[in-house]
Amino acid sequence: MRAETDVSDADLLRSMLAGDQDALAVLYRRRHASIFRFALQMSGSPALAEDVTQEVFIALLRDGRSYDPRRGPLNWFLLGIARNLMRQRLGREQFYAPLAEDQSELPAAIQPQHSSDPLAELSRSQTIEAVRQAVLSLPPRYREVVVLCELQELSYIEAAGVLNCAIGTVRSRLHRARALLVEKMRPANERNSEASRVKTARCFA
Amino acid sequence: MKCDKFEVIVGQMARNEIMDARERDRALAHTTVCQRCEEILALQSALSDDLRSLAEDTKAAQPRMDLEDKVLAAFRERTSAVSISASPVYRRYWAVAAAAVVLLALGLAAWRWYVAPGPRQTQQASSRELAPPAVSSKPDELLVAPTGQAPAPKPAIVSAPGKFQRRSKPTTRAAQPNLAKRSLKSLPPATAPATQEVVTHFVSLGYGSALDLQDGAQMVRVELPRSALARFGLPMNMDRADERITADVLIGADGLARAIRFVQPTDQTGDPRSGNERNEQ
Repeated sequence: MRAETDVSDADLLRSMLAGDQDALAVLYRRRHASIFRFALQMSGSPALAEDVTQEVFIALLRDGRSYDPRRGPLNWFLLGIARNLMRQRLGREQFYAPLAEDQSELPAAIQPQHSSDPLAELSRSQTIEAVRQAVLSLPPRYREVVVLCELQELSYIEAAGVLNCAIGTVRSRLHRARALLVEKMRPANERNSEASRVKTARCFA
Repeated sequence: MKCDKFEVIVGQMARNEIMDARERDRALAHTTVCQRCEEILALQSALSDDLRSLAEDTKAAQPRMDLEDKVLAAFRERTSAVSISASPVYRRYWAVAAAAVVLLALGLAAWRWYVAPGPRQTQQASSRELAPPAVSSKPDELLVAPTGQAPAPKPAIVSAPGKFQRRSKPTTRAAQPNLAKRSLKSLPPATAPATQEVVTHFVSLGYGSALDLQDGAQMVRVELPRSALARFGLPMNMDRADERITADVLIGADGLARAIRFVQPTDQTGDPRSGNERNEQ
């Protein structure tokens, strides 16, 4: 068998549908991280992201024959499945109130990292958490564009392929999403600046 | 550049996208004269930095290691389910097809047996039920009576007249419309419609009670030697012993002869006609 990197996703998918388990393993190792990140950034829940990642590959086992290479790379197809699953799950679970956040539930990669400057680390963590909450508070159609274009760093063309829409739609949604994020982040910035002013006043006092 | 145009491209500037250099310079020049647009650019740039930090923070995020095992297990389960379910499906199709062919053949055979006219049943009756006990031991003596006669009255011991009528239809040639028409045509016009019959009561053949006929019965018209009258205690003219007489044999659903009655055709005036005369017709 050729090296894993030489085989295209389409060939791996073909082999997998023919019953080759190794092809699925290679495909999973190659693509599961981006799917998991997309689901995590869309939902903020590692457990939900893992569920969606698993369901994406199970859906690929079931409906893999519907993939058409002429419409784009397999990664777009997988992210499109993840997006549809996320929309279903978010629509189903929007009526449930989340429990208090447990930091131990987060994957190790996004656990707060301890550095030599705890204050700077705390500030950075607060900023990241504020951005994360702002992104999660966006409507799904804006959130998915931010996740794809800003966090996954896909181009407009790639995002349009995943979302199955026009490039102009991606541009306009991203523009609107950024405006919403600025509005959501503004109170936090203002609070920080007000807090720094108060701190300064106390210092002078 | 005006503020509305600046707000359109400020996102691209904050994301450091490739754009027209002159347009970018004009936008930057606008920020020096418009404090609001300058603030917007600063906020957008800060947002880009924050989003980049968030992306960096989640870049190394990985699901649990056992997720791959779950996916592979689902693959194995699905593959085995497909391979297991595929063969029985084909096997089931073959079984259903074979059963359908067998049922079709049986149904066709049953239908042909049911629709086929008298000779088979006549032979059956002659060989199995009627011949030994009561009437005659010679199968060739039992012949289906020629027709052209009015249907015989129903016997009193038959309790299911509907069945009796329906089942007796294919067994006797007299009951088949085509044969009846043919026979009527062959008769002289003056005599055909005037034919009547005089019948005796049914005489039990001693194989069972009338309850056995509740499952249905068939009546078969046969011809017997006139000497058969003596076997049932009826008077017989010895001078005409070589002639034949007509009788109706009632056959139960189990195929056994249950009763017999004797029939004597008469003309409209009530004079009995001899069997020889009938045979000549």
